[in-house]
Amino acid sequence: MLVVLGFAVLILAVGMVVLFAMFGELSARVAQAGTRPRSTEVAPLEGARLGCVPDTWPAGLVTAGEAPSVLLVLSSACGSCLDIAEQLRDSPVEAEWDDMGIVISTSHQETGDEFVAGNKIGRFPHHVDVGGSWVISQFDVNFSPSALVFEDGQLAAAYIFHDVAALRAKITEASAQLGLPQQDRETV
Amino acid sequence: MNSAFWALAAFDAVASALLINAGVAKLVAPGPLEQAVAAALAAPRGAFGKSAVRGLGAVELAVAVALLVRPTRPAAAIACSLLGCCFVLVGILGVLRRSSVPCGCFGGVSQQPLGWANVGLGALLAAVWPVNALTGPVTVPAYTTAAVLLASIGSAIVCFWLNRRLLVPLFSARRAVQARSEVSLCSSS
Repeated sequence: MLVVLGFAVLILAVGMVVLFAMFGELSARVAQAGTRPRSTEVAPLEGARLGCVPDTWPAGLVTAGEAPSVLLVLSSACGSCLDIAEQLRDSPVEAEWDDMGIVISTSHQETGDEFVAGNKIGRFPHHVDVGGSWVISQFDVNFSPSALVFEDGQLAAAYIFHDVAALRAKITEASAQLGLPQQDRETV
Repeated sequence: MNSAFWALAAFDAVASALLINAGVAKLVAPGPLEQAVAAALAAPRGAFGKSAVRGLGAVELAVAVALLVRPTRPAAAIACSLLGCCFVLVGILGVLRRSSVPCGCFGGVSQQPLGWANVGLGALLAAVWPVNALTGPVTVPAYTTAAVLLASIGSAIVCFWLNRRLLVPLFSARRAVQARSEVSLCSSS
């Protein structure tokens, strides 16, 4: 009787091993899917209040009395935002982006702080925006990842992006061609 | 039942647990090992076929179970040692060829290429027959019961260890709470 019970337990153990083998395979496939090339498309973000000047800038975004000219709006809960944070962390070129700030929209201050610390993006001016209240109230932007481009303190353009290098190229191109990246004149 | 009996049952159970995990992984996900062996042998991709890997997995499972049953133990011990020798050779081949392809010996979670780990585990399995031969015939009927129960426990432990990367986040209450309560600004990802 005990032998039968033993084999029953062994069958259960083997079943568990089968389940975990399937989970492992699924995990490996998901990881492979994540290695696909990211999109370099940079598209205008509709609905942002272009021309708007924010009432206040969060202290974390202001460096030496100056607000950043580009604001990346990330969320602690989206995969693309995590990928962008990794690009900022890993690329030495992006690491030297001086006039850029990051807004991390999240549900809790602690979660946003963990996002910043975990991705080592604390060297950039940043603000943890609990509930997305600041970025929504000031710019009506409720989309991430997105980039807000400012000129003389005014919101001049807003973009949806997935690749930081492509975004920088787009901003540079728009600045060079138009002086200001006016979104209403863009055909991206 | 003396200590030698328990030691043998435990040793065979450990070997069986390793074979169960390896065999099941090969049956479920034969692709990684197929690619790793092809890379180690400098053979074209797909030269061996997934059915060959699944066949090896089935053999491993059969040997694992037979090793736990008293009447079939001697034959299974020989087969286990032969499998172990094969694993040692494949591991050495991986070292010599400087293989960089994940071996998949224990499924998708095995990210290490063929190498010294295979040599070590292969040596452990190769030692099964010598240990069983030195111990001599087992006359205690309780061997099967003890070995099966120990192998069940061992299989679970090996499985948890191999899949620790998947399991650890599940036990992080903080992350679980975060995942439930996250309010995302995202409209896309």
